[in-house]
Amino acid sequence: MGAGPAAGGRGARSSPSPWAGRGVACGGEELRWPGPGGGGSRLLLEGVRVPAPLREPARPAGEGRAACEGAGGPLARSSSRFMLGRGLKRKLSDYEENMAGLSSAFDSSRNLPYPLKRQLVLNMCLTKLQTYKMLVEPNLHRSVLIANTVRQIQEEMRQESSQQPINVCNGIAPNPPSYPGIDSSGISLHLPSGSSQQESNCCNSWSAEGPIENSLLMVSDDDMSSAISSILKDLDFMEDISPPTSLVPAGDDEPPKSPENTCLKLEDDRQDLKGAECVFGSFEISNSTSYLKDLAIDDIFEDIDTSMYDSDFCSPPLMAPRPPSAATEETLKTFPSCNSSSTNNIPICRTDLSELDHIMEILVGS
Amino acid sequence: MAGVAGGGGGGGGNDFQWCFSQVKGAIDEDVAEADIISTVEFNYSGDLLATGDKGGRVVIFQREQENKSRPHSRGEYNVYSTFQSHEPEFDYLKSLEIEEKINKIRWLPQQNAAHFLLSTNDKTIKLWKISERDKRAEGYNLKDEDGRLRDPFRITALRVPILKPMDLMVEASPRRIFANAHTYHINSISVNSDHETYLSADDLRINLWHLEITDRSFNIVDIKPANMEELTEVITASEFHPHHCNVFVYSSSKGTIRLCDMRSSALCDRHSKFFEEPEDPSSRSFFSEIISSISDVKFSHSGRYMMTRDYLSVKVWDLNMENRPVETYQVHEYLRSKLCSLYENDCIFDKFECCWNGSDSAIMTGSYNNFFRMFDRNTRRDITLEASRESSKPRAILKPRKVCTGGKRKKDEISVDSLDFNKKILHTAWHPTENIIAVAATNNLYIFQDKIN
Repeated sequence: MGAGPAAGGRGARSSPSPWAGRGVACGGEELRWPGPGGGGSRLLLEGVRVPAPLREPARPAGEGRAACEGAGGPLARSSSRFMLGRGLKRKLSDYEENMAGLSSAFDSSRNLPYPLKRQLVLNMCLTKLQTYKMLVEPNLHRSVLIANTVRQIQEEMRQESSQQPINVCNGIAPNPPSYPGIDSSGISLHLPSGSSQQESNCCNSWSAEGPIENSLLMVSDDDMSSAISSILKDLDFMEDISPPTSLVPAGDDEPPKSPENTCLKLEDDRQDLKGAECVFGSFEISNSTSYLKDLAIDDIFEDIDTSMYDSDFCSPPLMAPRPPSAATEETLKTFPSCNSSSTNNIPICRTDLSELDHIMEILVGS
Repeated sequence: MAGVAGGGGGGGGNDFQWCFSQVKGAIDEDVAEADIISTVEFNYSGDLLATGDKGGRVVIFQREQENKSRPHSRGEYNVYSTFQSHEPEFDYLKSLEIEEKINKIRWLPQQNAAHFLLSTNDKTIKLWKISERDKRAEGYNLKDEDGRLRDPFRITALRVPILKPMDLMVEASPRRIFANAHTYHINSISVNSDHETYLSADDLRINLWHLEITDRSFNIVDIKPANMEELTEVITASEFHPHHCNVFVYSSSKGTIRLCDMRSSALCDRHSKFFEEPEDPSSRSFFSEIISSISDVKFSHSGRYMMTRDYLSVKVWDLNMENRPVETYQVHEYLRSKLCSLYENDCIFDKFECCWNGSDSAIMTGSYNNFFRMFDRNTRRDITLEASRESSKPRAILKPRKVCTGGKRKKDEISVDSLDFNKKILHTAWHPTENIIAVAATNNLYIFQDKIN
């Protein structure tokens, strides 16, 4: 049987030659590709290799050196070399430069106050998780490590705040009940109680369909939120926002320090909006027929008009806290996941809720 | 300066030096991503050296027989076979692309003239047979020399075909394809000492296969929680014990290793031994957990020890002692103060491998800037070497490198800030019996040998 024998025979004996015959197809017997996509490159695509653009967004943006583009700092020179990752091009170049500068400052300075360092790390973690969320298939190992780091930091913050109750309220996003059309109690889902509560809440905040800004300040109880608020206030990252229509969080005995600051309350119900799915839940979903699930969630919000809000999906939460309605709007925007214009290159065919509404509005002529 | 002895056939402990032997791969500055080497593995005899790359190709090098006329140069490694092991696939059900990058190659012990190896990408493992053909039959009765069928009426005599030599041809053919058993990305495969089974591990599960059976595998470890939100730990590497076919270990992202005995239960979710070193509170940082994640675990050839690699160190564990390693070697401690930057550019997630020498007296692992480190377990000496084109003269002795951490930089030292973090040596392999090492530096494969004094 001489059917298609493989590959490079012996190369020249004497010279230590570079690879010979790279890329030669294997031979031997007929290949069987029993996998789901298997035969994909043969049967379904009729022998055509998977086109390059399809491959682009599949890798985490953080992989390789894409994370370092344009950044300063001693370790950033790696970006000038070849890019190992084929990740997403981030729009946050300024933000990244700041982050790279901050991270090298973190490493080199001994004078940075501990809370600042901690907040810096937390921001980096959440930014990474956000980036991973945008990908088709985030790296589970990295996501777990980063999530654990976030939990650890938040646990530490929570313990600190429980020792010194500071009830400064900082508003990044309002209470969901203020948003029309959502009955949070009606959508509430049961969350696992006990020790996993915090974790599930943590997870919910950066779920594949979760709110983006709030992931920065994801907290499970008010004490932690207050502590984070105070830290942020010290760091001067906050902006004053108009007070929400909702009430001061329950359990807050003292009045807010500054009346113009809105209060942050993340109710459990809020997280329920996301269907209790976290970043690891997205791994779960990706491994089952997810379309049905997505549609079910979309149906809840189909009567909501979100076309007025055109906020950027990718904006760094740290830099620009959103007005309340836009924040929640982004919640909805992210439900179908990966749908905004900045993520066009992701080949996932899911409907963009807000774009459809926008188109509808144009058609209706309002 | 004396190098680290590799022991090999028992000559360990003598001072000797590492020399450049060969380098494979293109020299261009622009590296095609498909050419990046993703795994390196010697076979059991050391005569064959297999590499896999991100393009899904496997290249096998064979060691030339020693040349009597040139006694100084040991056998060189030349290309023996090249084949495309895995192709990129697209999972239409989940709208995911499956990368063709070869994650691991493991050789099977040789049982006949052919060689067998297992290669795996993220989802599918394949058993390849590499066989030689150097004879051809001539003088068939029913067909001509060029293959055309002869007219039966013209056949008047019967002859026996003769085997004639031909140019050597090396064929690689896939004999088994083990697919559809992993939801998550496969990070390890390991052939059992019974030579009949092997395990494959992904982030959350480990499966046991029989080499002959492709439509079935047994799940022996499953750490997936019922609620994915509670996931805090993933499997990072796994390996069978070299002698006990019922024992295997797996490492986790939390820096722990679990040793399991398949005789105790069908599902080895409960470990027999649990190896974890208590954390040093003085070195705690935000990144402690991330850098404790174990990227590789390897049993010693003796089977008494195992070695783990985390981000900054290599640890040797005695299988009989679970509460701490017996030896710890710092690979690049000078990076500890740079962890935030390394986290920012994702270098902190790099997965370095490690390997033993044949006699278990030395261990080797990679670092950045194309540096790699070797530790002699007996003399406690360590050395840093570099795989670079500059030191690629034939039989040139490798000069030890040193990284300066602060203060005045001496001549020939390199400062931490000048290290190139794109040049990382993740994959290394040590010949099973001799002092020959293969070091993968991005798209180049360096082979170094010891210099015979």
